[in-house]
Amino acid sequence: MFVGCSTTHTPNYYSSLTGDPIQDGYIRIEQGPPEDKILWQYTTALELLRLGRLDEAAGLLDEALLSQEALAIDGGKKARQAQRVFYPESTKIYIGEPYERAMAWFYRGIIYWIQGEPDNARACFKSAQLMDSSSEGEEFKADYAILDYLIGMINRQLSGSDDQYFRFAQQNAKFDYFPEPVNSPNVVFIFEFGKGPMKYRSGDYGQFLKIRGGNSRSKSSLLQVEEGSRIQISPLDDLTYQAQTRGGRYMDHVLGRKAVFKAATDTFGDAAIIGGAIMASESDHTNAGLAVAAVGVLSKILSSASNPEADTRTWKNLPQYLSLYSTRMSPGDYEALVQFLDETGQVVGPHTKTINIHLTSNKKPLVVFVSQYSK
Amino acid sequence: MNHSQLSHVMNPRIIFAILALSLTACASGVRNPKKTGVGLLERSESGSFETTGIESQDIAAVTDKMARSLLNFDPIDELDGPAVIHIQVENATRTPINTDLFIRSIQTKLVKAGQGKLSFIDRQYIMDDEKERNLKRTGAVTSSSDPNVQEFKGYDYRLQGELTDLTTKANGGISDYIQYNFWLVDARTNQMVWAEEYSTKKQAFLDSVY
Repeated sequence: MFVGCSTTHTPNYYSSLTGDPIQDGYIRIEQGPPEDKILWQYTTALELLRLGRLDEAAGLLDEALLSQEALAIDGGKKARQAQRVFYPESTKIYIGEPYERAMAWFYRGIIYWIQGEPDNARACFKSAQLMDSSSEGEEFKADYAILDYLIGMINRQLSGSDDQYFRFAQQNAKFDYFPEPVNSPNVVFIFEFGKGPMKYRSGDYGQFLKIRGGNSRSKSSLLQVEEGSRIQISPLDDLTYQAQTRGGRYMDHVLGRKAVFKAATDTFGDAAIIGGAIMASESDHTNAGLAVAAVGVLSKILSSASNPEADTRTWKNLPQYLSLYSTRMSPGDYEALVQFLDETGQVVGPHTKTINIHLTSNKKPLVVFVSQYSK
Repeated sequence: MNHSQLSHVMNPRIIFAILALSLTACASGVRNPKKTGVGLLERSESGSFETTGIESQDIAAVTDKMARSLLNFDPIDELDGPAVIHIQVENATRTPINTDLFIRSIQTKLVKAGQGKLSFIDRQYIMDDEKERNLKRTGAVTSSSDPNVQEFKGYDYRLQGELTDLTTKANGGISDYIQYNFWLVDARTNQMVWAEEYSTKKQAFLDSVY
């Protein structure tokens, strides 16, 4: 029974890893544990997006999002196992916490918009906002300012109405920065910078899922498109905030029960072993004492085999901050310079980018994704 | 720990409960389907892996309804020559979808069942068509008719579609109400002359593990 309950993974693909995040991502997707596949699809897709390999990124995200939607409705065998005492939560197929699911939709939406499909981009931003409403805590549901802002921009682009989404965005804004919506912008910059939040366990048995805040030396970015124009872009959304306000989860209750089981069987085992030993030392109760001690050992084994650990698999290459800026400029060729600045306004690290922009009289805006981590 | 405390802890019912709990924990309650491999379904059938969004059976049902209704629309039914129609569909739902699936399906159904009453223009590649016509006009390529005559068709009607939704997520479940509206606008008068709608409502419980 115990052998059957315990599982070990031999990561035999480790020897093929190269250190290249994209190549390794594909190796992990194809050869890694199936329950981690979506995690690596998210991670690799983001690396690809940062390199401008949009079709590949879109393909990975499409597959991941289809699985994400289906699993959220029926998590299957692995989801049921994850609720059992002897399986850790990480047995379930990873689809991410609400902030991670939302980000997968966000990036897919960005790709759709870059590729000239604003209605599908809007669909993704709506789905992203819906993922954020998975949290049990009412107060912080669907509160990504950037998603509402983007939906508002696309509504304006397609039907001339912003449908109050800019107002929602302003209500959800957590920083002072809120760019005034521009009528018919022909270029939209989407920014991401900093390192995103991480998950960790706490509690006596690691049964509590906690979020460690991300970090970013960059506190804003500076955009120069035309001679003399310097636009400072501060964050519009903070992923640490989104991750830490996730609300309660049903799994927290399950893990709590598992932790109680683990503690109870451990305590019971101690008592039975000690009591059994005392009984066995008395000649009249030797056999009974040994039996009690054996039950105690069994209980200790059960305690040891039970696993209330929370799932800390994290989408590790997410950013800390998201922001945007849109404007309308005359058609022509431009060279945009983007720098990332710290609190004191000093340029941070080797992250300065030069982006060539070609604007036509096309009504569809040019969408430029600027990541601190893009090459 | 004295004997009375021990005997309380060693209560057979407690021991049995712990053993039963552990065995239950290990027992497999898996509802894993035994069948594997690819199954062939009609496009109007619901698959085993449904979501609450737009699926193939919805596209089939919507385009069937729109095509039937449009063919029975009197002004088109009574036309002597073919009505030229331009179709546009906008997706305003939360489900990304290739709207060409609707456009192509409606076009095909209308052309097949319309017996020449309807024809469609496709301006997706109009730039290529213009280049080709200009090449013909310069004599760089052959032409089976006089290339200087303007033959690009203007449309008589614009068939506009819009997919909208209302999503509710609460109490461990999700529900998607999706409305498919199509309307025909007379391009000469800008009047809406025909409209039809179709709607679906789907709900699912979310897996509590997530």
